[in-house]
Amino acid sequence: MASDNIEAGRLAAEALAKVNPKARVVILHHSVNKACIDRVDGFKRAISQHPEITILDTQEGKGTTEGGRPVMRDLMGRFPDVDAAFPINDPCALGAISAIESAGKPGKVTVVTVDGSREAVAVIKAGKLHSSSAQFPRQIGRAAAETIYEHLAGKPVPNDIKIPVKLITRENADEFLQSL
Amino acid sequence: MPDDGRSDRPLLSLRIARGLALRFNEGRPIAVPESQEVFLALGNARVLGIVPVLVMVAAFVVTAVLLHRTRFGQHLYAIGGNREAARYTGIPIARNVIAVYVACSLLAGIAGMIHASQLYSAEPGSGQNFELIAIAAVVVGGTSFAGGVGTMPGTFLGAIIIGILDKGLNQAGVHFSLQYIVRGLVILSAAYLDVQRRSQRQ
Repeated sequence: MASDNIEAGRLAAEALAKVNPKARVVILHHSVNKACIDRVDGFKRAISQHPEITILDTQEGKGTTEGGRPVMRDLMGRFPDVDAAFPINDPCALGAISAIESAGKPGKVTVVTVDGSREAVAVIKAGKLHSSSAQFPRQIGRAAAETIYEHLAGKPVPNDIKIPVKLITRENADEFLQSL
Repeated sequence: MPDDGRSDRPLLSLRIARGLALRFNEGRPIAVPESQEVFLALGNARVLGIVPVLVMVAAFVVTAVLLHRTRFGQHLYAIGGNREAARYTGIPIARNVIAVYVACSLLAGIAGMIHASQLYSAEPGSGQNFELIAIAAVVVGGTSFAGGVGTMPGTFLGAIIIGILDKGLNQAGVHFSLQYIVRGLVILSAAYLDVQRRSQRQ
């Protein structure tokens, strides 16, 4: 029972391709986490359909704000022409954005990520984060409880259930916040 | 550190403080609003230089004067070198040790404020394992695990070496798993040199 993380990565990649079709992108991974591995797989698979986009490097952002900031800072030092980033979750994206701001490049690096937290949606509305492929933890919880009931009632249940994700951008940010 | 049953106390209070941080605001991060200009300037502004760097230099100057130019500093070396001998010469141990913990907590508090300012958010899980980075910088800078040896200029160099190492490994695009190994080996070599120095003295 989890979000469809491959789809979340794909949505992020397509969102990036739409606004920045020749992006030079870095990935801030959290490579010890299965969900994040799926996100990066989905992202890379979708990017491979856009030959004009270059993935410069994948580094470890640890999936945290404080992990993302120094890694993004140093990636910008290594690749002065980097103009996009895919941190694998909202906290890491917030760290990357603080690095982008402190490097004096606000608005010059398209950031796409996965999660859909309130904090990140506020940053989407402020125009600093392009999009977040939102997960729906309540649906995950509800589906998990329902599946357990069915299992206890002796009914067959699927081995793997994927909960859909949805791309949140500036256009639907308010609507998304109200639905929370 | 000599095994006097005291060395584990900071680690215990660290765990308690972590628990308190998680209780506060139900464990959620707090975003720093843009209107908090002074707080945000602490980590991000440039006034005659990068503000956090200026704060660090000021902290080093003040602590260097305290450690190397005052009687308080001499007492700390004496206590670190040989607690029993220091006690017999009439140095108030408890008062000095408490003063060190207070100074350390004050500096950690300042570092935490800079950290939250740079990240635009205060997170309860923040600063995980930062104490190990601090210990690494101090040991690489020549401070002895046995106590009583170490200088502020040495620690300054140690901090710069650890900082350059981190940034250098990132800039060179070294895979993160290898980065852990390199950092561990550097600290191991510093600790090994410390043991060598100590056995030469004896």
